Amino acid sequence: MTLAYYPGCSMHGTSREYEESLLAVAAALELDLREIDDWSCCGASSAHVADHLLGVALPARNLALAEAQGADEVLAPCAACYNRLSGAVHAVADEPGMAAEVPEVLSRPFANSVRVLSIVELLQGLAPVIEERVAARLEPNPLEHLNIAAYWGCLLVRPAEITGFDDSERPTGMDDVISACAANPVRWNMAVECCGGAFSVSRTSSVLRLSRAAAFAAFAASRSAAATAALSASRARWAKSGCVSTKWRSKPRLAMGRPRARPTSWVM
Amino acid sequence: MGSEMTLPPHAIMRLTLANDRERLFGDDSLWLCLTCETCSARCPKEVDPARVIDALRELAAVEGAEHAPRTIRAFHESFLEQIRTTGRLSEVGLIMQYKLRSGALLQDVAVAPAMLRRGKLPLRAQRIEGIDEVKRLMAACERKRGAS
Repeated sequence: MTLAYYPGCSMHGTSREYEESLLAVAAALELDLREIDDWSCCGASSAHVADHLLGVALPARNLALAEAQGADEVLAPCAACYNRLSGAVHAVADEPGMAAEVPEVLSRPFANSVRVLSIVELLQGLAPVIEERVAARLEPNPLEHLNIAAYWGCLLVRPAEITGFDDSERPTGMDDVISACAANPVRWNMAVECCGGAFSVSRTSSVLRLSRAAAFAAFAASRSAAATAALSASRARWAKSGCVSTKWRSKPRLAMGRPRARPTSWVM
Repeated sequence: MGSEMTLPPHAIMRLTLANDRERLFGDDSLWLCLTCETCSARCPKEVDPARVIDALRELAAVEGAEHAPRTIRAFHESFLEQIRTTGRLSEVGLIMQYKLRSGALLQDVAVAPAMLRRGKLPLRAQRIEGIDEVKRLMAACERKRGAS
């Protein structure tokens, strides 16, 4: 299967291990990811704060490029990019005037015909294949019987109109993938709470407070591991706390480890 | 982030209805919103405070009443400047500019060696071919905002 791919800026920088694991998983699932040629930043975190039109136009440029390059679907594995791209699709479709205004500022044709896929939608759709491959190739399977708390954060599930998962308070997509890997998804309370990621540079203390609460809750619920598809969540934890080491597994991303018994070091 | 705001989302909505610009713009609450959308998702009246807050921030900037904390403003300005220069976000470039704008020169310096060692801080920015197109796009949005 061939799929257009929008990596986004962090995948080539602070979250490079996410791209490495994604490409390894894609190879194992025989997915051919074709990077959109000459893609640009989607403006996540900042453009929509400054100007609504800019917040739509920056991601729309990439959708227009994907269209011109013959794609029907684009995979945006970064949760923030996914949210902005998918938000642009809906803004252009639903907001009055946008369908005319966006091609005008883009100076290129834009039919808004591309569907944006998150990593969870993609892997959830492939869960039967994952299950079969994991059973056939991973012996022993290091994930077997591991309790895993799926952390979604904000951008994959909200607003519900643009993301379209089954339930924005208790989504189940990631659990299907965890089960397909023969691990046990656990129920816990903070799966869709905010980690503060967008402030990881500018207001670190808030990020630590929010991420720490989620990380401890995940650990308390699972006693072993948390899975996250949110880049900034794991980046914030990794960069700031050093308490959660990231290790690659056969899933979008697994941040494994036990928070050290020095909680004071988490708070600045 | 509601717990860190002097005016949490429901208060912002109330003051917006009352058109109390002085209180809305005279405080950093608007800038502490991360657009996590929790308030919009859970509002029993289906109000969308996240969109309202985005719009209020735009309005505050237009009226020159921006009370964003220096660090948060520095972050957003540096972010957009990066896109304008290369078409993509160089995280190293973002941090460098952020430090200059915010004055937080030594922030996070301790984690840099470990991140460099893991290849997480590529020093060469990727400049896209269509950079002029991105510049034109950003200028066009700015013109439209100025006109509206």
